[in-house]
Amino acid sequence: MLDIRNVSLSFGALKVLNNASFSLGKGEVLGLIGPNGAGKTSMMNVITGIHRPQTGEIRLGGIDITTSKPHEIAERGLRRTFQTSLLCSGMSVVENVMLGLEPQPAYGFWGALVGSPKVRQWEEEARQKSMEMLDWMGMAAFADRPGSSLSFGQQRLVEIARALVSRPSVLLLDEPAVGLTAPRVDELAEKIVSIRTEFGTSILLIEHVMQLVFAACSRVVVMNAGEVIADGDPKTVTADPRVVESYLGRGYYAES
Amino acid sequence: MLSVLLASGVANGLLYGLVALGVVVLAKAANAFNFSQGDVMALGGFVSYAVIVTMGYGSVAALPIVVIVALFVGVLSYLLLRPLMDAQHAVALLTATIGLSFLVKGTIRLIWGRQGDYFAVPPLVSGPPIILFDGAVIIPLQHLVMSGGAVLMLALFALFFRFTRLGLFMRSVADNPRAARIVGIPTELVLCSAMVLSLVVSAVAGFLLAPATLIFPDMGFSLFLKGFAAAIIGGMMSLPGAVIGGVLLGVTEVLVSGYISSTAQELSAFVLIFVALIFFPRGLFGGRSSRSV
Amino acid sequence: MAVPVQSIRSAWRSGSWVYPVAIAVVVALIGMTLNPYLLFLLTRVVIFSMLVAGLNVLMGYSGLLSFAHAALFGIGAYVTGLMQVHLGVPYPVALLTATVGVTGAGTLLVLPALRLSGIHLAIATLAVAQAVHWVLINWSAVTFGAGGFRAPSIAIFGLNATQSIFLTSLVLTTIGYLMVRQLVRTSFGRKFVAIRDNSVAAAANGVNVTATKTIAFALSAGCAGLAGGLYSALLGFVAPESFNLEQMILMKVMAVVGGLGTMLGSMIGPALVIFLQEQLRDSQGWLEIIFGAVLIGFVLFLPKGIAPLIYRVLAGKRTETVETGPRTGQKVGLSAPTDRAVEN
Repeated sequence: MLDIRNVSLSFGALKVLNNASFSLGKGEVLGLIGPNGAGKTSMMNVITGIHRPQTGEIRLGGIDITTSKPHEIAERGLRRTFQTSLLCSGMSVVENVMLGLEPQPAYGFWGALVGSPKVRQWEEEARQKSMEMLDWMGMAAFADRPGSSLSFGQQRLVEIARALVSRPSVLLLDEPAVGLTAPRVDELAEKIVSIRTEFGTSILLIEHVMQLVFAACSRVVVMNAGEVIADGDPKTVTADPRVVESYLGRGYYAES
Repeated sequence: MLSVLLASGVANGLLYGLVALGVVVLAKAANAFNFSQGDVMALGGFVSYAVIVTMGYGSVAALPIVVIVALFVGVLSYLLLRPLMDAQHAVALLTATIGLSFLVKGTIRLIWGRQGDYFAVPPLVSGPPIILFDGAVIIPLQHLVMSGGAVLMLALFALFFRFTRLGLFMRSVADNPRAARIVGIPTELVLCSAMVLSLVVSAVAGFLLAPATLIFPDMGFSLFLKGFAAAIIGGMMSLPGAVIGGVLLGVTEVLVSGYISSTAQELSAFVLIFVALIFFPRGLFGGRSSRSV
Repeated sequence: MAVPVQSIRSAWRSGSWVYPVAIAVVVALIGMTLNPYLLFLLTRVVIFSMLVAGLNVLMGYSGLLSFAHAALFGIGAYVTGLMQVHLGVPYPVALLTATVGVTGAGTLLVLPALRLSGIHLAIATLAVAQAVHWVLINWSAVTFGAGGFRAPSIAIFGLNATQSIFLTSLVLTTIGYLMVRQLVRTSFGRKFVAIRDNSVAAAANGVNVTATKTIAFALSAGCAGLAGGLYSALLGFVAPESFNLEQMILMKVMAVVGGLGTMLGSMIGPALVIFLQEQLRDSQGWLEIIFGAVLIGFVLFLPKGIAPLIYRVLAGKRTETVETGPRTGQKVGLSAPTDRAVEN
């Protein structure tokens, strides 16, 4: 679904991504792990068009999206959440989710200005779809609250609903488990797995919480200092001495 | 001809540079912009008018009074705007400083508005122009004094940032506000000083400008605009850049006025601002901007 | 109380056109009984409501700062007036041309600037505004320079000039207001708020940020152009000083005082500011001092303006403000533009 080939990105003298390559298969849940500063979020920003890589290419479903703009990439069916997730405070929760249906409106500017029946119909359907999505995430009760009034964990679930409501082919999740308690992490893992089974979405998951990575991912890519240093199934990768050295730490085995 | 033009361009430009310096100091320390800077510059001109013309004291007496008034306005501005001086309130703060600009302008008009439309302040020094190279280069004395004063202010600024504790605090806040707070630098004091300094430097620029032009209550806004343009040309984050930007703007203005048309002079500043913003958002010396959403 | 407050409130919130139109009819009836001076002021309020409604889309909903709107307002007035004076074009045609022209010109002028955001966008629009003002003063062959020119007034249904322009403005403003209000309750309104609150997340959700900014700017420029065209017929005399930066700041005060991000505020702000302005007309300096203080006061103490207070009265509630923590059961959002959290 998503192919990253030899991508490099630097800010001035700072090399953030160095010739990194990996790919995300159809219907796969892939974990992207690595120490802080390894370039995981930069990778996500490069994929979603926020930064443009100096070299390399990114393909989504075979189409080159390396130089596409963020909204064009979203339009092609790749959606994401953010590490510091924030809903728009000026909109209710359900309106935040409805935003995820961009850029679909079947009506234009003039229709919206006069409020044609087509507009009303589309808006109603959009609200319906968004409510269903919220319901599926277990957040329907919050639909009419302001986005900013929810806790961070709740906002993150709404954000996932917003990313999913347009039924994207690829979903990128940037540290969705930050600040969640262990039972909540398990629930999230279940949700992620069922996103894949129910919508057939391919998922790239950036995460530090290994509990979630093990529960949800079928394959793991490890990055360090902008490079991909390991790629394989979770068991093999976490046994790799280089991964242990750079990320998991020597104490990892003692703990588990 | 050219040398006279250049002398006045450099002199005006250095004054824009002073305003730009204020813009940069406030931008760096507080990530804020203060629209009232131009009006405080006008206030500097009017206060020196009051001291020199109305009360009949010399120019030497005007300067400290201008500085004291600016200090007062600066502290008052800070106390008023303090609740808005953080990242979430950037737009609100900007709007409030527009209100502040109106307040200062209104005060000027309240005090001096009935006395006429335009006011003339006598030159700080009078004397024949300086003639060099057998008349090939003529520099009016007035412009020399303006430039000298501006350069002196710039030097004081540089010394302040390099050698005083407060200057050091301000530099560290500009470099890394969070780290500065963690190591216990008094952020409030730094924000207040930035506000006060930016207004004092503007008022002194007004004091230096007044004798070279006619002053009027509405003059402030376009002066702020020019100072801001100079700061942008200089890259917004660099003190020397701000001064160079000011001089570039001043020289461009006089060249346009001298060789194209004097009415086009005002326009040139706006065109320069627009071009600088669109094509050099990081300043002439900062390279083109990288892509962002 | 005899009036069912609850139903008024829900009808207002549901976006029904009944109440705005009813208010417009009442205003029209009152207006026709006023003396020419008061009617002139009321017409100014109506015209500025149109302008501020557009400005509100830009500043309140989309979070974009513009200083160009007094200038765009001026272009509208000049194009409408000059087309009649120089070309003998009838008023409706001139007005339409001005509206379309200002929408186009405003968009074109600001298109390169839309890559910028925040203060940089504000300053770029400021430079454009000053340049336009300069052209109005210096291109005297066409614009009659700093002295201005006499713009034709209009007469409909055998009414006098002020009454004619009053009714015309009221009808057009009501229609414009309803349309803009309708627009901000659709996907476009969500896009505006999204680029204001978090433009990176908006783009990642498929919102074309530049296109959305352009639409917001074009819409508000169109409102300014139309308002300007109406204003030229009201004033009967068009001069550059009616469209300078001071006017722009008064427009900002109108938007802030009324309430950014609420459509109701677009009517209250102009009414209050124009009333105050009339009281302070001949005061040297007090006008600036009071408006400066009002602007700072609202930003500091009532950042959401007056409109939310009125909604609250309509709603019969006295508590709730949006920023303070979670509450249950409270309706917020575009379909119910009350108590909006606007960071401004």
